[in-house]
Amino acid sequence: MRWLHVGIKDLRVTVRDRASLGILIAMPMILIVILSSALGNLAANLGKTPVAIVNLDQGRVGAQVTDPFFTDPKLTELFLARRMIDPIEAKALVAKGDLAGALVIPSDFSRRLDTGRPSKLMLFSDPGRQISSAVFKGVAEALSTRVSAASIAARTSAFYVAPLRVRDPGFVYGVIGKAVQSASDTEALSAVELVESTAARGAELSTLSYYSGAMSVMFLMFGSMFGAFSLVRERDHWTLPRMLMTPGTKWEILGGKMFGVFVIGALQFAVLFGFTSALGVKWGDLMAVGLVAFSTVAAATGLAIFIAAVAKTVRAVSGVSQMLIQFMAAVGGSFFPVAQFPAWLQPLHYFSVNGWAIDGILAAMRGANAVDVLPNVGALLVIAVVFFTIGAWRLGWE
Amino acid sequence: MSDVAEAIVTVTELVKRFGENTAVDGVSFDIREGEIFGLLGPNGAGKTTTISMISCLLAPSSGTVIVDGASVTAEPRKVKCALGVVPQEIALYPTLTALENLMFWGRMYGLGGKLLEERVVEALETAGLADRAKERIETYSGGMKRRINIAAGIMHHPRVLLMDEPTVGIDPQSRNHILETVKELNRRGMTVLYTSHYMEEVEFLCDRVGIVDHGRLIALGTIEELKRLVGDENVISVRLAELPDGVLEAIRAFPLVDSVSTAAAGDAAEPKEGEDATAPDGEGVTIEVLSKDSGTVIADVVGALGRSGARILAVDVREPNLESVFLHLTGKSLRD
Repeated sequence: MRWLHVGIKDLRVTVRDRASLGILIAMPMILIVILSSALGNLAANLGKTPVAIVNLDQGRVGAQVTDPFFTDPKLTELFLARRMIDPIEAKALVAKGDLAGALVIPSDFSRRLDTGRPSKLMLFSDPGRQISSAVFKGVAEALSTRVSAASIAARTSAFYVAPLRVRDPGFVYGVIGKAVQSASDTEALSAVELVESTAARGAELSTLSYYSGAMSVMFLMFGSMFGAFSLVRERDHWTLPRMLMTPGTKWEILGGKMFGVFVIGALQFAVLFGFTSALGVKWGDLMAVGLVAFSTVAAATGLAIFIAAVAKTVRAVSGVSQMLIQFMAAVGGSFFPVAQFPAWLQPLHYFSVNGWAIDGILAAMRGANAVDVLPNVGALLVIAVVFFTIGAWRLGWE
Repeated sequence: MSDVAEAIVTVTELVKRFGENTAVDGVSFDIREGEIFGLLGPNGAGKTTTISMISCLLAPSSGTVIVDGASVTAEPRKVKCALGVVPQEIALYPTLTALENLMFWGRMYGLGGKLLEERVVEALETAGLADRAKERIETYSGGMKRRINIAAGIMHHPRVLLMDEPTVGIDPQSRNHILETVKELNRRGMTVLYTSHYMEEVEFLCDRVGIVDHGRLIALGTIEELKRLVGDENVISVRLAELPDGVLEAIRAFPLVDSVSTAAAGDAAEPKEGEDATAPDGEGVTIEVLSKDSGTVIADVVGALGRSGARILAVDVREPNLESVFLHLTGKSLRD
């Protein structure tokens, strides 16, 4: 039970350090309140709405629906559209909350319209973002209606003008053009049906909810920094060598240190969970949140051992921790939602503890259950094992 | 102390290398049960590295260490149970109280329940700090911290106590307390390995002494045996305001002078028993001259210094001691 004595001693030492406690507990509380108050509704205020456009149409009409998302200044100001080629992937991103919606143009879209048959567009929307999804849906509907009307007008005009045997092609095209123009202004005609489907479940997330998860994760990572400080300080102050001179094994001692870091992280999360719940945040399924929190604390604990192993002095711990934690916080979405990042930057969040943890927590907030968050839990536990293994291997015991 | 007591610690051809640097180079000695064994040497001589290998903190590059019949490499847990270690650093948690620290270290040695409580009380009484047990270590003076540092190493009643420079940087009162504590622990039957670069502490405490320099054991024996290495040489110690050029060579040239060394004034004079060795004792430098005929040589030395224009602050002639043994063996002062 020496590991338990080491862990309890570490808890006692941490509790006596009021400054550290303030940073670990009070700071995230303050930041959650400030950030959520200052930034308000994320969907409304955090820039453009991320959407995906999947144009599978082999004709020219599909582009008439999709191009405005990239060329119309009014729409480019409103949406951050990205072209994708796989509708399943687009739907998955909407389901994850990375996109507010995805519009899919089927491959036979032009052909069906040209032959007078009705066609369907698919729209995946995130019910967690009611406002931005509704805006996206409205724009998609308007564009499809316009294309639909134009298509009908063109075919109708051509049908009636052709038998008149008019020799002036300019006249013919003029008539068709006017018909198309007239039809485009009409919203009654509909050769294109917009089929909406929900890609994600759950409730809309407030900024307070978002930052409750994001800041809790970031400060769990800072907790790992204090764990690394503790190990290096014990090495410097000779309490670690002294422990190694007792009958306790290095694994008992390391286990105790990890236990201390883990319990502090768990307590920290519990306090933040209670605080934000009191502010009205709905964390969702407790089992799902608990699993994600457990694996996040485990990853942070592994990170503490890793930092202590690579940084030999307290100053080095500070430098390495700041660099690692701030990088992971930035790319993982602790400061701003990953969906707001440019497309090339978004995959980086898979390389951070924060990215997996925030994804999992937000999913739970949107209604995911314990099974749904298992990929996140698995990824975090893998990170924990990798960090711990490298750290324990590199930790200087002599 | 009987010479026929069995060895409880046996160190054989012990070597520790850190890259190109050999910190301990083929050291061999044994410590007999019930004795206080001293390792005397200047800073960096390899004393702490030797203790670290005996206490299983460092793995030897080669050689063997047997403690209470167990090898440090084959049975480290058994070795650790037999040992108590008082490191040179104050290895305590400053924000915890003395009581909390002792409870923790006691548990690390496997104590628990009522026995742990009894041993903590006993250790606090040994340290003379029972009345301040519930105060945080960070509020203690340096000497009080050192006493708790020792208390943390003796709670499990080890058969052998390793003490690495336990009096560094403390006040005379605490130093006296610690030296008396070591004597008392030894009287209770504890075998002690005591390292120091303070010659007088080692002379006061130890039955036998090993002198180490540059990682090698250069002499081993009782205090009297070691002093006999010097023969009837005395140490003439002269404290000067400054050291004129060429004067050392002039003194070395005298036929009855065996060796000459210098030290900064603050380092030169060994502390009297109970004095704080780190207290400044004046400015300048001290010349130490080893000679079998101190009566004749002192006049030559003072004359040479006078001719060189040196200002003499103090002159002292001492009987052979461990300092002169070290000077005799290495040609330099213990604090060089």
